[in-house]
Amino acid sequence: MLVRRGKVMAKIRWGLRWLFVGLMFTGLLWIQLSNWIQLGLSPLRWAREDPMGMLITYAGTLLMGLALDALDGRLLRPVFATLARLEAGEAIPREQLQRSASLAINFPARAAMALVGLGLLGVIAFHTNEALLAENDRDPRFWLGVYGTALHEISLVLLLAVLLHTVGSRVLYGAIAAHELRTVPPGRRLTISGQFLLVLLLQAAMFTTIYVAAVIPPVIPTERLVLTYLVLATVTVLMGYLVSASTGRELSTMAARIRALAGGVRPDLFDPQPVTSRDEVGELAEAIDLLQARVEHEFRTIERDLQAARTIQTELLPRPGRYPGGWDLAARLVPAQEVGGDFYDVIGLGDGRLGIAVGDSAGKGLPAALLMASTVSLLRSHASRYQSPGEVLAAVNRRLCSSIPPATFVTAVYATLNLETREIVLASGGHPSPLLGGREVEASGALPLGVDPDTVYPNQHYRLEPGESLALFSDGLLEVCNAQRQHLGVAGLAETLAYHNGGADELADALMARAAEHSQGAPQDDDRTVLVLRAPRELRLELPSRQGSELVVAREAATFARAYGPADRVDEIATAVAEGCLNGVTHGNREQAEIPVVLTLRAGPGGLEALIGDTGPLFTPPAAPPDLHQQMAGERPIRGWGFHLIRSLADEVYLEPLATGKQLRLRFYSRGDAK
Amino acid sequence: MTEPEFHVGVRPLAEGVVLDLAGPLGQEGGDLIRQTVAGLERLPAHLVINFADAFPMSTAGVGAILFVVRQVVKAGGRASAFGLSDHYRRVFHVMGLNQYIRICVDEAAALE
Repeated sequence: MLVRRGKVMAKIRWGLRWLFVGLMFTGLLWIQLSNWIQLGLSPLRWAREDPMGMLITYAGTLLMGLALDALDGRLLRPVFATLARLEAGEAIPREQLQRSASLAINFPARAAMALVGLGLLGVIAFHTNEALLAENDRDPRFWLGVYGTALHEISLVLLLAVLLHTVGSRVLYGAIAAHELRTVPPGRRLTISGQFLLVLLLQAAMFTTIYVAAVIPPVIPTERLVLTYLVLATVTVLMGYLVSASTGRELSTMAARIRALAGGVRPDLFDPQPVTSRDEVGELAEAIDLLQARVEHEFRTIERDLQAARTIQTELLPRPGRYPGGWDLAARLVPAQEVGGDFYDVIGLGDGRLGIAVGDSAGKGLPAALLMASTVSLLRSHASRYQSPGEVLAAVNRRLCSSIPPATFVTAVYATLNLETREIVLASGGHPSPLLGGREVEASGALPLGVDPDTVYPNQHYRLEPGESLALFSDGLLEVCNAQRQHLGVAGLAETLAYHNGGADELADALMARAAEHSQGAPQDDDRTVLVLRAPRELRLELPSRQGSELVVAREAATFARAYGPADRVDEIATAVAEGCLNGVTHGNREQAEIPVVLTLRAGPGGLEALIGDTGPLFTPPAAPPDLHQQMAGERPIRGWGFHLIRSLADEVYLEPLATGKQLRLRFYSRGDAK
Repeated sequence: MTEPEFHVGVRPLAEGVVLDLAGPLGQEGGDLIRQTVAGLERLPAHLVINFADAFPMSTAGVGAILFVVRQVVKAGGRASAFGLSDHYRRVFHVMGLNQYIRICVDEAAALE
């Protein structure tokens, strides 16, 4: 910015000097050409015949140039001072900035007016003197000649004034823009219509001189008149172009800005439109700035609201993780816009079951997000009131039918999972079928929610095998398109699901990565959601209640833990589980071999859970370890170490009642993920 | 589902005996250890137990170890052990057995 302003100052100084030189050159060229074409007076002949007149003309022109340069130095001094302060990064009061900008804006018009005033004075003085000295003051042709000559000179003055105003405004544009004015400064102004009127006046004056030249003696030959006409026509066209091009350029810039705003481009990506003139273009720039500021304000307000809505929506959704028994859940939701209509949910039902759902509200943006929030709220409130997913969806459907506008609906799949039995009961309302272990579950074909209050949502029953996964997803994931508009489809997801061996988190990431890979970076216009449920890997053993069974268990548990983890707890798992089974054999089932101790091992990512069931009554284990010294002294029998060891080796130990006895639940986490 | 066999080897020393345990040590193995020690001519002054091949172990078997160690200690003898994995060293510490049995890194250290 500093470099830009430094360059601006140098450009203005030299630009104005070159402009004055150009004006002087144009003036002299105009006089020489007029003399030559109309009077046949070549520069050499003029120098020979009227050296004094020629000298006065050249000296006068030079003086005019120097006067303008002096005027520029005087009038623009405060502008350059302000630019220097801006360059130094100083804060400048608004009033001073406006004064300085006003000076810069006014300079071309002031200089042009000064030029016109001086020119007119010169013309009047010269021709008054000529009239006073004239011998034949009664000849009307003399006065017509004086009028023609004066008009010709006034044309020149006007031409130079228009040039000075138009080119001067262009030269000073950078200086004025550097002030970054947002409003048109007060003061008199030369409107666009005024500028064109000036050009028209110039044209009228010029073409009148042709008429005068044609009728007063000495009569100019026709070919010279035609040549004069052509030169004047060219000059007036050039003047008209200069005036309109300058205005047109600014109008084009502003039109581009308005088009960008209309196209939805973020307004803060643009610099403000500086006000650089007092005419209608300046007013338009001010209006655009106001419009841009308003649009930006609205944009920020909407953006802030959307971000808040997004936060609320994100907070509304749970963060799935691990659930009792080694169950592993993960979900991903990528909205196409700031907020979306997709949702997922995980609801603890409090009876050993978990409710899981994925849905998609029709539409996009805020309306869809509001419908989504409403649906999630209804699902949560109805999930524990009704036993089956079909009943829950039916209840939610009835509420939605009575509360949402027509042609609005929600597709959803809702399932309950029994954490003990791995049974899945599932109902769907117009939603894509889930994938169970890499296979597509047959859809029930029921209508989406919110369409028909009498819709019945059939329950479908499945059972997840140990280690198997269930994926619920939205159509946005299935319909991810690549550049050739081909959908990813169920097959793409099923393949990933079938061959992926990681936990739910890794699996959800893999599914989203598969979608991203398919899209090849093509923008997607729908939300993408997936919820993955991975059943724990499981080993179930029924052990005869006799001594030695615990040693078999120790080997089996070690093998299982080595295979499915946590691999860094193998020895502790083997010993603790063996001791738990030994307790079940000896104290629970009292070594009645025909009554089995039931052992279940479940491995999830990062941990293992062991359930050891026997028929013995629930008891409260002693808080303190046995007294070894008493035992070694023979004062007490050597026993009671099993539970102490279990407590020392397992991360979590629970004794729970069962309908037929009790259950010891042990949990082990990987050392890197200890709870 | 049968329990693998448990063996106890006996190696006499000048002042004691080395018991080489092999296999899963539960109650049955513990009984075998008790019988083996009971079958010795006299209680050894230094009972050295080799756990290198004893896996897995449950407290039913470790109880028998405690039983024979108690006998030896009561008779004024001492007990040493070697061949324990890090895990079973921890188990012995959790139970406090290291207060009655000298846990050594190898046989040479145990025989000192």
